[in-house]
Amino acid sequence: MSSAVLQVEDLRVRFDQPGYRVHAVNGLSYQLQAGRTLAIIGESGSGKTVSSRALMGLLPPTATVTGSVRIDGVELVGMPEDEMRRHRGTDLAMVFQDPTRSLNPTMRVGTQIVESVGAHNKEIDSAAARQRAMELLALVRIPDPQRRFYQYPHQLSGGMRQRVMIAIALASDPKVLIADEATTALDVTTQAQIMELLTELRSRLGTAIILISHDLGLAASYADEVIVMYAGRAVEYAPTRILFGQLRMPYTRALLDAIPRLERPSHSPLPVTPGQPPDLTALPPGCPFEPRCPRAQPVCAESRPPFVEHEGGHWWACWNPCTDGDSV
Amino acid sequence: MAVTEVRGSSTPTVDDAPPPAPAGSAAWRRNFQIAWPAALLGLVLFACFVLPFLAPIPKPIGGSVLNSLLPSFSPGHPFGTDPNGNDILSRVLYGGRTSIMVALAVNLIGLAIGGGLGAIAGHLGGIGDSVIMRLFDVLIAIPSLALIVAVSLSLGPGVRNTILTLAFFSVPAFARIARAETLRLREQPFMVAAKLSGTPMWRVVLRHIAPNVGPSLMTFAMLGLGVVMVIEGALSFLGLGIQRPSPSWGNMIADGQLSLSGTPNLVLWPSIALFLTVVAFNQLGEGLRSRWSGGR
Amino acid sequence: MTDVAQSGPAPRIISAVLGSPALRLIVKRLLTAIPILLGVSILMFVLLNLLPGSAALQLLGPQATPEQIAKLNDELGFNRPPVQRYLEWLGNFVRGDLGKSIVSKQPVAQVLPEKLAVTGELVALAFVISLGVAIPLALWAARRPNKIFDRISGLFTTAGLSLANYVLALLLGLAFAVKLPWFPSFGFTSISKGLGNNLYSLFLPAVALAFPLLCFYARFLRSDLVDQLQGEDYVMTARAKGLGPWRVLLRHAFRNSSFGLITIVGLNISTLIGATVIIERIFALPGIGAYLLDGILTRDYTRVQAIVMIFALITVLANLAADVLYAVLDPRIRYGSN
Repeated sequence: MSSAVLQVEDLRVRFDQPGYRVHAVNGLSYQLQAGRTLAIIGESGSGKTVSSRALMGLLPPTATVTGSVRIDGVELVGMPEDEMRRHRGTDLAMVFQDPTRSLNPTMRVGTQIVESVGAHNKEIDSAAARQRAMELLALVRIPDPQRRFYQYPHQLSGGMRQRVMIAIALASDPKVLIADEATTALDVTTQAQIMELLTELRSRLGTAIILISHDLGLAASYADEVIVMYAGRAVEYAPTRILFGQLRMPYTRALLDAIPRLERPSHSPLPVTPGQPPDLTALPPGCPFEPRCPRAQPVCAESRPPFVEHEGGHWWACWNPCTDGDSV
Repeated sequence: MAVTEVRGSSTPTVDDAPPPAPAGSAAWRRNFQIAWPAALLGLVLFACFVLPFLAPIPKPIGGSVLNSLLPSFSPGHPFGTDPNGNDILSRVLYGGRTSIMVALAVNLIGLAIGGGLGAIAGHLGGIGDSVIMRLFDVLIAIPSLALIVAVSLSLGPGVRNTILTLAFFSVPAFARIARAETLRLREQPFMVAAKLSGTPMWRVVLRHIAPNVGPSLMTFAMLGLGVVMVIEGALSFLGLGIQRPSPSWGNMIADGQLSLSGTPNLVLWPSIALFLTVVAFNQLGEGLRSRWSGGR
Repeated sequence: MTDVAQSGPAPRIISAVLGSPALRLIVKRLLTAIPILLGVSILMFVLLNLLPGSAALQLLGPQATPEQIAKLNDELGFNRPPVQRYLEWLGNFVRGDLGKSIVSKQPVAQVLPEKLAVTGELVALAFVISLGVAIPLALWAARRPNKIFDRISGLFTTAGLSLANYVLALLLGLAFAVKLPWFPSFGFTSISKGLGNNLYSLFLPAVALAFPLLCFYARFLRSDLVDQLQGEDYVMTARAKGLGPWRVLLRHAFRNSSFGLITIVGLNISTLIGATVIIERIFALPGIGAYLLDGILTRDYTRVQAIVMIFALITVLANLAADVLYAVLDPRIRYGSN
């Protein structure tokens, strides 16, 4: 087994506000191999975005990060900001959800890519940086890069903007690319195009990808492995094929059932998971999903199920998992 | 074979600490933000409006020339006396009375007329709105102090005319804010409901718009009080506002200006009073603003 | 590099401005400026001519006999219908004839240029000082929000906003002209005696004029920068690229905050010109503000009317310039939106 490019161990993030404390991520561990795609799936508030920003060191000062994040063996947690900066873009890069807001509206897209090229390559002269930016525009399949280079974000379509964001992220050949809901704001066709582009770039450049999404369908189509998060913890993990072959967590089941399907009788109501995700300032002693879980048992409220490997490669944290018969 | 390996946390999470920090420190800070300027303002108001009745403070005019130009901290005259032998403390307190009353009157007029017109303009929309707002654009196009100075020339000096002049200038600002807030409100469901149910306009403005626009107008009025105090001082300083021998902070500063290096106390005391009062109004306005915007 | 698209930004800006949304905006704003200026002129005319207390009475004082008043009114043309007088005045104004001072009998237009030059220099210097101090102050404060430097500068600018500029002018004069004789306490040295001497004589008044603005700009810019740094996704993108904190602050946050600042600066021209009336008096500068105040104190209606119109003209043009600058600088307006 080749060694992992990214190792996350017992990652915890909490936000301290005067008078209360939010436990956003509570012990997340995973490893990621070069050239692979890992999907992290969960509702808003599950800790998926916070955990990825923690990798980048991009959380506000109110956040406290503990645990370990190693990239090629280098520990990032606790690294001073000045040093951390050198790892952003080169080791870890990120594409955000809304390409309209994540590009600077008053700066030419070419300049924004050039800036990214120059961020870790101080010696490069401006002509070479521009050349490289053009190449990146071509790499992300933007037609007519010579012209697009001089345009402003508002002159591009949403999908094109997201391609620019990907070009910016790839400027310094990152080892890991984090796509944080990178296709959520796009329409379905564009979404598929961007995902195809990411998949293609991954195999061409060998970049590992972390796909952060609330969309299980996206994970099923594009990820090698899937982690499902709830209340700041991983609750189910498996290689994609195994996971969708036999879901074990009732929570994952509920997420999947909430996706509309053609084979369902028309006008039948979608099953909606009742209730809200738990209050992260005061987590219950038992399973955090227990209040909303259709399979809850008395034990679920009392102690939290451990997250362990129950079957070959398949991990989950549940006292009363779904059985094969319930799976899709 | 799993290429990516996931492991659970080895030990169960021990939620390491109870909520930190003394609870409610944010609330305390927000209260303090409003409390200290309010206290300062209370102190100023007390000194100007109540103190002269309680303490043996001489009249602001009609002093004896024998006592002229006493330095600060003289017995019986803690701030000293002016060239006419009037007690400076007394003049500062009585002058503050005039200044504060002028500022209040100006802002009340501005609030009533400007706020009303702005709310009506925003509520009407269309041509009515355009006409009212273009009129105010005209007023705003004239540099305020130049406008005020010109109006005060037409009306002549004196307390009443100073109030009218300054109100003339404060109306457009109130109108703009009231209009912007009204436009924001117009799309709100309860406004749409009121309109659909045929509620008469005066009732909509009074019952729905006023209570919602009120907070931002009040905040603005607080800030406006500070601005008006400064401009009233400027007018009196130029000899176009409150007329001598009635004291006002502006004309006291102007009178003291000529002998600034010899008797700086003539300028310093009214300046300090003006500064503290304006600080109190401004900070109270800022505090209210952050409270209202926090609640939104 | 023969292709226009390859030759970089300059030709594109030119081609984009001609026949662009920005140009349309400028024309539109110019057209709305005209009714505003007409409105100002009518308002000033009404205020100065039709309100109680006739000019002649004011000029001659309460002891004047009715005959004297009638004679003077006749001389000044105050007996003709107001509408006719207004239209005459407007026609002359547009042709550059601002009328004769009632008191000195001198044509206002004749003395105006040198007075405008003094005030213009004073205002420009005040803007340079206020922005020159406020921008670094705000950047430094926003770099570490709520830390010690931010707190101190916040306190300083809050206090500064509450300090009346005439009080500040007197205190500055007392401190730096009387107690420490570093600067002249009043008077103006013409630029013909050297730029250094000229700026030297304007320094204290410009500081007095600039100080409240400085505090205002610093506060505005600091809070806008902090909002951007904490709330805008493109700032996050810039940080994710691995850019350093100053570069993120300057190239991303400040770049975008500067658009708001331009608008504010344009709006402040009016306040600043108004304030010259009092500052020029305190420092005895022969500018247009002092000239206006003189006119007011001597009840010189023609002069007051002409100068207030000039002030309004400058204000409207300054706001227009700010709008245009904004439109030319902000690509979202320059190129229109899709």
